[in-house]
Amino acid sequence: MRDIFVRQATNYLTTHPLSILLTADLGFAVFDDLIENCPNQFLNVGISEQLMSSFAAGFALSGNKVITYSIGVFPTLRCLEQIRNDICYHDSNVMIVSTGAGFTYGQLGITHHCTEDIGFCSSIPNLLIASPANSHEASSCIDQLLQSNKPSYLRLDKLTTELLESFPISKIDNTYIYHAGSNPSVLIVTHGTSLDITLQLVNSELSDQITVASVPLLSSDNEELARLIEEHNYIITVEEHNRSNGFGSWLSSFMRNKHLFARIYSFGLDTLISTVGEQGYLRSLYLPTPQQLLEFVKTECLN
Amino acid sequence: MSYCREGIESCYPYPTIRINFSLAHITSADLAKKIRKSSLAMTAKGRSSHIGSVLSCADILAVLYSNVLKLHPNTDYFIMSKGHASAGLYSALAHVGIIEPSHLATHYQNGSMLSGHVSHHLTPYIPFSTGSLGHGLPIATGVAYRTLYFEQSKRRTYCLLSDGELQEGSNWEAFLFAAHHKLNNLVCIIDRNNLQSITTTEQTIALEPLSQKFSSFGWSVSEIDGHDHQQLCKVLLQETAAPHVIIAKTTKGKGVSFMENSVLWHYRSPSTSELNSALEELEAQNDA
Repeated sequence: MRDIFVRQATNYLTTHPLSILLTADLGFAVFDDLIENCPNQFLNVGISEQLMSSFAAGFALSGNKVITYSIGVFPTLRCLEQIRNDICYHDSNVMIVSTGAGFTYGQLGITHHCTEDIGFCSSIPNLLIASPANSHEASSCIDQLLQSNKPSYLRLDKLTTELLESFPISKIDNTYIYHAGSNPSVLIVTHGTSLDITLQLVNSELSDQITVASVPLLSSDNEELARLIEEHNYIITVEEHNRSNGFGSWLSSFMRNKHLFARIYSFGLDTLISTVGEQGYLRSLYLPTPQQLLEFVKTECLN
Repeated sequence: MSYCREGIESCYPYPTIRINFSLAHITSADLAKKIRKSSLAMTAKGRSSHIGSVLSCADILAVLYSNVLKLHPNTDYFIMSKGHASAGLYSALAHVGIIEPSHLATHYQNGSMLSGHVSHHLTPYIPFSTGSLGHGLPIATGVAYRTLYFEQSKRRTYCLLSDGELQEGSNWEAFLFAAHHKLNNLVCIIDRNNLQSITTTEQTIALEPLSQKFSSFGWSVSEIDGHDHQQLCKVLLQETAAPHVIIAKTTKGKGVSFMENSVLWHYRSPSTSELNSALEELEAQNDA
């Protein structure tokens, strides 16, 4: 998905010569095309995330877009106050981009685990958060964020084989449906690449009774999501993020605000992660496997 | 309710605001006195803090707004990173005609746009709200970089910091960046009053030797008396090959004898009798 972002960002910057992309000294060889096409619109500010964020706000005073880039939680947690005070409070045209959502950089240790950023960023007013699950979602999200003049945060993950081959059967209001059972009572919804786990229930014995969906953009303006929730008795969320203040929390809040009632179960991380390993390995330790999720749905929702 | 008079075209992406004023109508000495008197009245009425911080930079603000900043057309940028001295900035803007002087009395009151720290909601001539130290200079580098390399205009960006604020590491990211990218349209003014929240700067975290720190970072450095208007005007208008930092040596509480060099007046708002005494002292002073 990073390549999709770079391609779309390069196209955008080519047609918007007064906009700029900043990196905090990360992205070796990632932006070679952009540098070749728009050399003056790429700027490495050095290992200075706080400067990068405030600088972005100052540059964007003109109204032209600034994209900031780093990995993991560096462009967010490291400079949260700058995002809050300088970018969001001033409604700056700044798009914050992070690659390495969740356990993407799992082997590198907790400093590189991106598992609290949604919680922190979703508590800041006026910041649109996007976590696409695959190429289709990424392309759409990136386009929307590039065209927007508002502050935004895009978190990108690696694609697995299942996600590469996944294609939604419908997309309405930034809600993507990947499977709609014939008599569904359970809505399984994700934000980001945890779709990888839930997609594996599509061809299971529960196929007729579940809907599998993805919500890459956290927006209260999502009538399709509201409609889906109304049509199901049980809502299950899965995320490679802390349960506390993650996507499940956001969805609970969404339901409360829209007076939607259903039983909701949220799966995510509940502990300080001290283990290291590949993304798949860490998922197996801290998130439900597809089989475990299947058993849970059978026991808790359909029994 | 609009706090801005009609008259001048805004250079910022705000709705056009028109205002009728001329910088030539007020001397820096007159403006400095007005800033001090208004700020004292505002902090007394609003029961707000930071009058000592306002008084130390009143002369800097006066020279900026009477002699230095181009406010129309091709407006220069001024970012007040020491946002707690907001009363001084609001006073300056009122006495050069950018905001209505009558609104100063609403400072720190419920619903007022004249908040305790600088607010960009008041007027387009305040481009950024500040209050958390260490933000203004990094923001200013973004403004200056764009102005120099994208807009390619001669507009300058001025940023006023407190000395204690230099303890925030984010400033030094900006110092490194600005020198590396030769932002010679960026002017950083340090209100060097040697006091911060609890005690002196040197007893808290020593800043000296400050001039050498800045020059080692690649900045052009000037050290002046921050209450001397001629010196201020000269250095603020000076063109340099590198970004320029002005260490303006000031006295916290300058202009009111019982407020000078006192940490207490970082917090305390003057009582009615203290206000009257302060105003009498200022009135009796000869212009600088």
